Amino acid sequence: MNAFFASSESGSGSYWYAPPASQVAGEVFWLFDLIFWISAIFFFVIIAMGGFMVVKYRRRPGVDAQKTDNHNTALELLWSVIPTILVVAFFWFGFDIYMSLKRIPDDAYRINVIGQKWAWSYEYPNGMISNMLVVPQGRNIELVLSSNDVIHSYSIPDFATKMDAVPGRYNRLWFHAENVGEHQVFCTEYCGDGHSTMLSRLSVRNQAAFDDWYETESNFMDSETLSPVDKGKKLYGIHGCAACHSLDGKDNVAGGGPTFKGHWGTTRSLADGSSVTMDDNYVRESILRPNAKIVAGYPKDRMPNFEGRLDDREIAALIQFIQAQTEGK
Amino acid sequence: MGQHTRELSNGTFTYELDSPNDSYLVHFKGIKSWLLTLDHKRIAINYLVCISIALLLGGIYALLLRLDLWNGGLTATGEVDPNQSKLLTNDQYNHAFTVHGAVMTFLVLIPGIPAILGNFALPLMLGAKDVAFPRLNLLSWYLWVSGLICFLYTLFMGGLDTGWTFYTPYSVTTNTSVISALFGAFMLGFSSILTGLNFIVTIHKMRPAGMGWFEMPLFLWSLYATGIIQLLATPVLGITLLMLIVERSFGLGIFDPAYGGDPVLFQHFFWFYSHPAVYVMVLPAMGVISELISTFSRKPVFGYKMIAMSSVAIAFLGFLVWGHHMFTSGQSPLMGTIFSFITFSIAIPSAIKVFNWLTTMYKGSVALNTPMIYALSFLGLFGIGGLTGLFLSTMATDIMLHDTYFVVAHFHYVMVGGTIIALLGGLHYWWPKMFGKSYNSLVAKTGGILVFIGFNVTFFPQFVMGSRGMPRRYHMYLEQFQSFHQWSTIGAFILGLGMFMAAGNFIWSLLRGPKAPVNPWGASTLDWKTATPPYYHNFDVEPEVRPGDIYHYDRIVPNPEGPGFVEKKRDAMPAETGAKH
Repeated sequence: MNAFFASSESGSGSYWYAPPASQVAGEVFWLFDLIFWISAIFFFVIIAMGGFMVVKYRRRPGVDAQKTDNHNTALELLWSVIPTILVVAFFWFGFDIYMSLKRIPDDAYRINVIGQKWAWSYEYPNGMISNMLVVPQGRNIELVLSSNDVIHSYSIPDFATKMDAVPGRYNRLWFHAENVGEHQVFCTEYCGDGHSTMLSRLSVRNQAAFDDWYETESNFMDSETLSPVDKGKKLYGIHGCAACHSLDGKDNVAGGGPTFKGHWGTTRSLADGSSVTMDDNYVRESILRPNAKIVAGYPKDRMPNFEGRLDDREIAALIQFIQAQTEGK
Repeated sequence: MGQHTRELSNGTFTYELDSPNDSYLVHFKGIKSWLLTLDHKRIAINYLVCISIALLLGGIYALLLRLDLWNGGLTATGEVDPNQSKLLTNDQYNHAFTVHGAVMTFLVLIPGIPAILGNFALPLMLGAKDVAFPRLNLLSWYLWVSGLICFLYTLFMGGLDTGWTFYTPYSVTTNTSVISALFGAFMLGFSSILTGLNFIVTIHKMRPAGMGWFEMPLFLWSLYATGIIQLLATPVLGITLLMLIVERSFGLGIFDPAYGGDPVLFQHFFWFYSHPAVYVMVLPAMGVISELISTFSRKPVFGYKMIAMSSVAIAFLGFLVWGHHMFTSGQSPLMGTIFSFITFSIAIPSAIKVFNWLTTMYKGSVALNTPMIYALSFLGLFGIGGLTGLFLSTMATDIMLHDTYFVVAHFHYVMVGGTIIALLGGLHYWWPKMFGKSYNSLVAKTGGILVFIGFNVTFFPQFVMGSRGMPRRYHMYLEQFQSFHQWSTIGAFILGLGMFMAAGNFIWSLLRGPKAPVNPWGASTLDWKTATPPYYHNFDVEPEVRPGDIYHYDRIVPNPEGPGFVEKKRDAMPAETGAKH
């Protein structure tokens, strides 16, 4: 429990926040500090006044309250006008910095961020999809947020920014990360069962490292060194399968997905009373049309439909990967 | 039976009472007389019993959540840590925080002070026999009970996992029992509307001669301002909930983008009610605090008119700020800017109230009785709640803090540190009048101090984890937040202990408590001029009130023959009129 008394990581962070990782974050944290200290002064005044009154004018035998004015215009104006000036200042700084959070530079590098229960995926300009946000350092990055199901919210505390991913609309946020580093991303709009594990990592890399990564990730399906099972494993990560389908042999009935380990080749009883053998044809159908054959006990409408989102080569790789989980190839 | 005489300035009156001890508690007997009562005092007791049960239910869920959050279950990088056991599953946790929030908001905080303390004290403070519409008042209570039944039905028939905010499209797609919960909230909304209507009419029409608007106790001003919000804002909630029921039942496409609806529209409708609802919770609390600080300082409330008017100002401005819940929803920067600006304007009447309360004690005779302990902790906690609101009305810092534990801590400081503390303070204040029994003041003060300490230990660490990024409504969390969560859990149990001490003390006082004096605290308002406990028809003779009586303590002196205070007769000279406020 010592973290409660220790300041957060070093750098220019404070007890209240981690070091700012973008320029705007620095401004937001500056404003946080300003409001914090003025509030602290006000709080001190309230406590000091209260404490003084209670001690000084405590009830004593034989001493009654004294007559005073019940009203004093000058005093009441004083504690109306001072807070007014302060809150107008807070409003102004808040507005000014908010506009820097909102005004997206024209030259920003654009990445689509798609939220769906319960994983984030990132679509790069060439169509490559990743389950991790990797960006080049020193560039303006624009994220275009959307959602496939319910409302999610994309929060990057180190950049002091967040924005909701709302189904049926596009919301945008941007940042400029000067330094290389790794940052935590949270989903901050309640979205159901896996809300608290809808986490993601944001990696800021130098231009060369970013280009490298971009090249490899974009072409991994053509790679000659990766086996189909390895490619399937990458696809399993990219498309968020891991949110529901574990690899450790534990079925996640409430979360909506059977494990990929141990079921291959077995007969599965379905919700409608029939049964099916878990083979490549069944897996292919379940990827493309998840609601067609639901295993008994699992909820309908949990898994997104992958028709048109995966090509045959990718489906084949995924099938081999799933098969390998049971057969240990 | 008995002859009673009473001397008033215009003569001596003799009258008969049905029995020498004809209190409202015993005048009618049997369970039916309580279920069908039209007496505002009995309805207040009915609410007290029922709301206490709801508070216990919500509190048990809170402790369950806090126990579960002892362990985060994740490593620092977000991997599941098998060494950290969790009490609940994700799904159970989501149900639990929804039940906690919905029960506390709709069943406890919104009705709490008006329904219990308002119902009991409002007609007494006016020297009236009852509220304007006693039957409507009973109906309000029945609507509340049907709301409770809908919530209990929800609890046992599939539960609810939407959060108390029912955000679409999640609430349209989840397979939990959303419709019964919505219907419950709808019923509770009507209960609230009818109470507000009743209070407004009562205050308008039933003030006694000699009590002008600005001679009313401030608790009545706060209930009046609250009534306006209840009347004007709650119907919007009702319509919104009905639309959501229709959406879920028929897929109409109002809010669900899958059918062409707009989920952000729901947020606008929802907060158009639910932000003013915050003031339905906190304005009556402020009213209670005005009564307590004046009585226990033996001083008129400083800046009476400013406090009265600031309640009305807050009620009015409260309608114009709902968009500050939606700075990250994608609403336009212009709208955000307007909402932020108006939100700040609410800070000013709130600051005025706090400083006026503090100044009320100046050169007073401040007694630290249990209700005053609660009033002072209100000042500290509401102070923190209000000041942290500044971070959230400032747009740039709200983007940083929105939907984190900072917000959770902020609204608990306002809702618990404000409303619940004032409810407890008010209950300790009016309890002797309600039941004619005193409670043990040492136990009561210890309970009050434990509540204060436990509350701060629970919620202060949540500010820190929130500003460091910990999102709200998270069942699993990263290792770096664990120490804060563990402090919070420890604090929750201290808070719970304090609450149980207060409750136990109340029950003890009913069974064993000594008889309470008529005016135990030396209060100046009319509610203390009836018998203890009050006659079933409140006053044997309509009490006399003159301008300048309320909040003036010269004639209210310690009882030379026993506990409590007695009122000296007026001087033979005409009473001073038009005393300055």
